[in-house]
Amino acid sequence: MSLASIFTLSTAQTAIELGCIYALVALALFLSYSILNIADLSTDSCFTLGCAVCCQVTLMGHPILALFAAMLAGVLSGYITAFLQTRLGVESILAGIIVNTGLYTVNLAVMGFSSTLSIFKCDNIFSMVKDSALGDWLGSWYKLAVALLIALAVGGLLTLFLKTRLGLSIRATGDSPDMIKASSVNPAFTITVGLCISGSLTALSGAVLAQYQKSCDINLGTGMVTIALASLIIGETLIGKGGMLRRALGAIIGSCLYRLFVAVALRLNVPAECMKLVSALIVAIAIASPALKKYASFQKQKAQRRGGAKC
Amino acid sequence: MKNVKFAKKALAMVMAAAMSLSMAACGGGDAASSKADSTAAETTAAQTAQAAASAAEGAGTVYKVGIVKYVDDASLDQIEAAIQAELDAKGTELGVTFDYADYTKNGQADSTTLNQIASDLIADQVDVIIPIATPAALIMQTATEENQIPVVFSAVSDPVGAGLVDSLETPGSNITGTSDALNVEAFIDLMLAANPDLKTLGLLYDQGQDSSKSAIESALAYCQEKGIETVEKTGTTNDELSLAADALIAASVDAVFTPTDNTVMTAELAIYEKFIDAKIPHYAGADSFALNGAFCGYGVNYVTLGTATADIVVDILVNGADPAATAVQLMSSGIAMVNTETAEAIGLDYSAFSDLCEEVKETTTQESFE
Repeated sequence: MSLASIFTLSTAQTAIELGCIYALVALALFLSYSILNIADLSTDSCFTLGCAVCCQVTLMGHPILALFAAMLAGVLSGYITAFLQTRLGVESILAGIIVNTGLYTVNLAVMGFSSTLSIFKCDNIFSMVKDSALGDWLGSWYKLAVALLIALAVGGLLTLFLKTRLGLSIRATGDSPDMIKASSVNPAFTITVGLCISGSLTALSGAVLAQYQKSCDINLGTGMVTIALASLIIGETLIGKGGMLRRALGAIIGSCLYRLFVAVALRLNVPAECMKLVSALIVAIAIASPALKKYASFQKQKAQRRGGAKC
Repeated sequence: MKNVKFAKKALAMVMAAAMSLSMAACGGGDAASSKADSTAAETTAAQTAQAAASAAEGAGTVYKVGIVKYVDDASLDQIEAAIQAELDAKGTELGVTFDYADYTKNGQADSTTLNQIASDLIADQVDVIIPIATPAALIMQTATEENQIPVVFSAVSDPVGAGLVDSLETPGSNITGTSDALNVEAFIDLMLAANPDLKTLGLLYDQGQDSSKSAIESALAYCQEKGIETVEKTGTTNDELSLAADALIAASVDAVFTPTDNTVMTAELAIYEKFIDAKIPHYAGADSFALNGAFCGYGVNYVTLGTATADIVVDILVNGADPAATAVQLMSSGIAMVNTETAEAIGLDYSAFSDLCEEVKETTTQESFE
């Protein structure tokens, strides 16, 4: 089978659409994990929360308001995580786990104690673009256009925000909490703002996915944090650490690449039970690559020195 | 220098990709389709089926059938196998080929994977998609909205409530299928037949399972009508359900009822001994529960369900039936599966069941169907 038939256009198209949607979670982790240096494990449930809230508001007939409502829910979730760790002295990882667990019930409640919720036949942002004047011009690319636009807009806004005074304080908090305290900025405040924004992005991602697939499922967020982390690190490995814009773009590209890997694996009929292992391997290799590189260069130096001594 | 660095990074990425691909290749080896040696593999499934069909008539039409299972689970596995068996049987009978081997996918309970699978199946231009379980059905519904590829779902407890069809009689679009809704009232009558003095009924389920919701509602209503008290306990994981089972035993209920609940199904092997020790019969809404140690599994026979699903598929593909006008089939839930080991341990007589059910089957405790 030729490469072309393994990788049909529509397969790649779907992979990139999904990649752009999940890129928002990668951007959220970019803020919480890369910049603030906090492993926020509430991502999985926060994603489902965004999805559930979006479904409910979309059902009431407000597809655009639904996205903002989901973001607001994400802000609340992020605020609780931050409150636990900054005011109540809970370990940051534990705070995430606690919120993640608690949100399961909240998510079920939002969905009306039902495990699936369908918004089929409701207007959504994708169908609105399709029905608009742009729809004809975009053809079958309308979903990709919407997803890409959202990802780029969010990436751009996040970059701009990180260049403001508050954004700079958040970046400094991750680098050195002591220094930020010395500059009379309260790190509890910057962490709270950072996690609220990160939560809102995660929830927005869930919301866009809800409108994309027109349904919500209580288990939808499972494993999201690993996948987003993989995307983020693939991006960083490939694009490298440069300015904020470059790193944000890296997260988006990484997310699309990850989805392409998964799409190829699915196309090749990788047995379903192997998929999780493949994902874990991609993450492990990507995360370990800087350390492996360092080790390799160290060995090279050692070999060079030894060679030098002999001479 | 910078270029060299970039090249190294790119190389690392390519290596990572290559690794995942090579894994794919080894994995696919013994399945029906290793795409590496494509032409041969692709036609393998078709050939086997054709060999059978050619006895009756020459090579018939080949229909591509996509089967999308939501997750690995004893009941869903059974449905999948039954669908495939019935498609093979009908294919031989009618002299046509249903090629499902290349298009049978597992969503691993991951909605992103399901979305990607949907797009793959549509790219492969399958003639019909069979999603098994509600979340898979919902995503296939969205994916086929524009191209109107027929979708025949299986094991959806509440197709109208889930928004898949307009009504059970006339689905109204490209989607129809089979439902595994449980006949709760008949089931409670069965419990009363085994124990006419039933005063308190424990309800054990996961609130997050859609299939449980309506069944629990009707159970509560029917119990009230019959003057039976109810005790509700829920859990979302194995350990929570173990605690819930302990709580029901502590409340000294006379029997425990569980609807067609996948979460409890996974926990059954962990809790059935508790109920046996307390001499409380556990009645649950699927025959696979009895296999895993519950006293009685009642309801839809998943083999019958799978067979009925495949029959609808054949009707649509071969006879050109319109899915919009093909009624959703409900199973006459009349098969009770009794676990004889558990029955003996509890000392409960189930001889009255045969008057109330289509069929009473017996089993012993095992991990899965053989």
